[in-house]
Amino acid sequence: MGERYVVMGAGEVGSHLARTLSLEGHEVVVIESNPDRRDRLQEAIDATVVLGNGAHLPVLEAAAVCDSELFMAVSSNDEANLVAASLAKRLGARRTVVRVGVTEDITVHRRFYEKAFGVDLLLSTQLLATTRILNHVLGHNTLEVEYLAHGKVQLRKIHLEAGSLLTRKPLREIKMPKGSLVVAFFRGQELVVPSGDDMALAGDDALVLCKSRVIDKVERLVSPQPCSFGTVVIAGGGATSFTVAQALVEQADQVKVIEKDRRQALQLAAKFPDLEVINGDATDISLLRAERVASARAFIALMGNDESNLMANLLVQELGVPRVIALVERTETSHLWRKLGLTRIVSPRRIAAERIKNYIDRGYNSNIVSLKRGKAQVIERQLAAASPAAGVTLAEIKPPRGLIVGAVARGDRVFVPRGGDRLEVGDTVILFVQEEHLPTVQLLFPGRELQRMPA
Amino acid sequence: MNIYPPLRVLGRLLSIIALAELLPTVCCLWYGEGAAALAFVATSLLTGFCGLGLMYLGRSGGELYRREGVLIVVGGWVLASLFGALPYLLSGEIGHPADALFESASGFTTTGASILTDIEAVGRGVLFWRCFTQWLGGMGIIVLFVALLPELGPGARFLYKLEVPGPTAETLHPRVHDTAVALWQIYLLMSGAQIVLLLLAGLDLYDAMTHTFSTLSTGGFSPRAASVAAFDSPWVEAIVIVFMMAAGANFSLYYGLRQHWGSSLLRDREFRLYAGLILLVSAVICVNLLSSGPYERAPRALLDSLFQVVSILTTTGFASADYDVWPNLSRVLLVCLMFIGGCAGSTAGGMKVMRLAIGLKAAFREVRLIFSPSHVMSVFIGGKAVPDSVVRSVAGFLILYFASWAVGLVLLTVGGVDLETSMSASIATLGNIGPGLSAVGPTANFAEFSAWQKLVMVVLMWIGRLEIYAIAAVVSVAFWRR
Repeated sequence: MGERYVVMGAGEVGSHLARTLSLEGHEVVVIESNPDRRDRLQEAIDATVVLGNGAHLPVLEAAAVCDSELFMAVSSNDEANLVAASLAKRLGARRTVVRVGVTEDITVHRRFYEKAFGVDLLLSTQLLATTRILNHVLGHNTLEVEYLAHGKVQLRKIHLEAGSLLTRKPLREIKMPKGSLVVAFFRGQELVVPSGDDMALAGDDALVLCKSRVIDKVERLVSPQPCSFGTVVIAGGGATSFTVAQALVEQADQVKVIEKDRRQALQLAAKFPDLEVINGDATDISLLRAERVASARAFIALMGNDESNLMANLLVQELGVPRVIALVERTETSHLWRKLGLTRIVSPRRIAAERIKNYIDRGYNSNIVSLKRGKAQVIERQLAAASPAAGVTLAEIKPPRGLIVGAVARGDRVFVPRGGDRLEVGDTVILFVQEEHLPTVQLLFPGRELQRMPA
Repeated sequence: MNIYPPLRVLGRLLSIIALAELLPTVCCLWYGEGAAALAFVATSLLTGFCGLGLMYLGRSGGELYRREGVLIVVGGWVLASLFGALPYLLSGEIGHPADALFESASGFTTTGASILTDIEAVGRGVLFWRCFTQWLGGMGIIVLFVALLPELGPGARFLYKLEVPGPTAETLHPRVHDTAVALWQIYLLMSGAQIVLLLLAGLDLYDAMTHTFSTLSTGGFSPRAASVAAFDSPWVEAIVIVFMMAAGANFSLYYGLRQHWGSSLLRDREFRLYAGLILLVSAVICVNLLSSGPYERAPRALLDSLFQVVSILTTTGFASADYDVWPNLSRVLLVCLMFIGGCAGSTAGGMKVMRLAIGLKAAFREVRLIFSPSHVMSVFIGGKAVPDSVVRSVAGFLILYFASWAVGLVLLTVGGVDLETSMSASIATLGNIGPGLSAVGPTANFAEFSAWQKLVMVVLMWIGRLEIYAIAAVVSVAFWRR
């Protein structure tokens, strides 16, 4: 008998997680409010299903949350998920994972939500899928992203393929874009904090800290074959399209979205001035021709429906678009897509499940840098007046090699500090620390983990 | 329609106007104009009495809803203009009632058009009242009313929105009363600043106050026949230019300034358009003036073109030069500016820069839809999407605005005046500007029109000041249907 896991919401992510965990031999309880879905689930998965809304105490008690190893609130209702996680924690669930839809909640306010609701890992399926989609569209190789300093700074784990600049030259000789810093390399189960003479090996994962504005420059430098920009066409105007479009309007020449529903199209058109929104059906070949989709660099099908996505992808492939990407809900059909030559498929279900699985396998450590045994941490601290580091230049602090002051957020400005930069009271500093240097951090930057309200 | 709440509220509004009518008495006594002082006291008593009467009639109460709100706003402006005309009649300075109403409406709506043929022959107390009505009307008599009466309750929001109907009607505070107070505070502060600066520039207190009143309200009345040109001082002109510009910008920006200095003003898209428009047109007119003759010295030409452009665009209507003798290109450009007006949320009249920007972008969107009909586009101003309901309202406004202008144009031509006069008179009153071209140019006046045409222009001024919709609602049949 394995551990007990409770999954709230038997939607796409929830049922996938429940099935995977159940197949691994764990005890799984699913909370679902829709009776039809419950019946279907009970036939498909060997798990107890409790009918009801997880945001209500009796339902949680019925699901025996009290001694569960992990409570996963992955229903489609963000508020219910947060409330349920908070209650489950009080009831005695050891850890909680919550899925939310609004990506800003994660990119900007993640830490605050985690503190306020007792959530151990807050994640967004859309945001995770978006990272994968952008990898496909822009030729990036990002595995994971952690958002810091209210989204102004990102810590990215980038997989290094053979031929990447980082594997060809020592760090000292590489001119990284302003506002970015290579913090560490993951090599197997080892964490390497490089000096200027060090070089990455192909197959390493690089940990790069950078201002959100220079992400693309960093990715282009690191990737062995960055792709050129051009028009990107997105079919479907749902929530994922919104996140993808938001990232792309800054990085691509032109972004077009094709959405069938007029009201949804209008909503999307009111979001970004640079976005072209077309009201129409992306599986209609004459529309694709009229909008000259053939000349696009990439096409992303995000219509929330596998059949339409497949149809659109085949049509666009026929038109000769070089990069064709689709979001696939039904993970089990992915080999069929590949057979048709559609290799760039993103399955949010699998990604979310992988992420949560990953979280479980890492010993419930949500930190991006953590390995099996947490060897390093990323800490966000606000500089107090009592701190010995306040008012002192970085060179004077002389941090040890395993302690990197990666970025400083001061008011609206964010920068990667150099030796001559002075730290000021009120600055938010982002520190990368190897475990043995944690006492030094306590000494230099006393205080608890950052917990301030967004400005 | 419940008639009682509007009666009650209008009664209180009249009692506030009655108090305002006492202020010129001080001025009359100071300058030894006893008869005029008596006229003001009599007017004040009469206004106050009528106000009490209305309050008595409307005592039986009832809630304020949309319809009542519309009636109050329109009624407030009509009553203010009517009772504001009494001092002119009672003091004997203006003989005909239509003339007095024209002058009074022109004051409260901050138009600045006048039927007085010899301004400097009129008593100083009455001239003070003329400018003072502009100052009261500039920030809006309803806004003043809301600021003075915190107990007006939720109905205050309708009233405020009806008088300040701009496309970006936002309130600075959660409570409308606090917003109105904040706006009047800013207005008072700016008035104080301008009075002090004008005193430093060498004007006496009377001139400084009257000109401040008509500058910040973008009214344009002056107790001098030659308007601001009478002082023949570049300093005075420069001060007036700066404050006219300030009055033509959105007042909520000044509220923003209290929080972060300087940034909100320059970051505002409408203010940038407004300032850019002023600089561009001034430069073109300046070159035009220098190249085609009437001016020889560049600094004078620059100051005069800037002054006239700001004065017309902000719908103030002051003159530092007789622009009616300028070359045609300059005159036509000034007429174009008359249609545009200042920024939304300012004391200026006209169509407003913001509406024009939204209207033009919406039109370009239609052009785009000709060749890509399946595209869905929002109208963006400064990176923010304008809701389609606002775009529709702006389009309707623009149509009604031009229709009002055209109707005014036809009616004013009836007596046989030339096209230039009637065209410019119609927009000068509708846009609350004041002087137009030709027979109603900056050195002429509106005395030549017949009495009923003056009443037509009074209505145009009200339409312009209340930005059409409230007046259009009151004259629509559905409004009065039960």
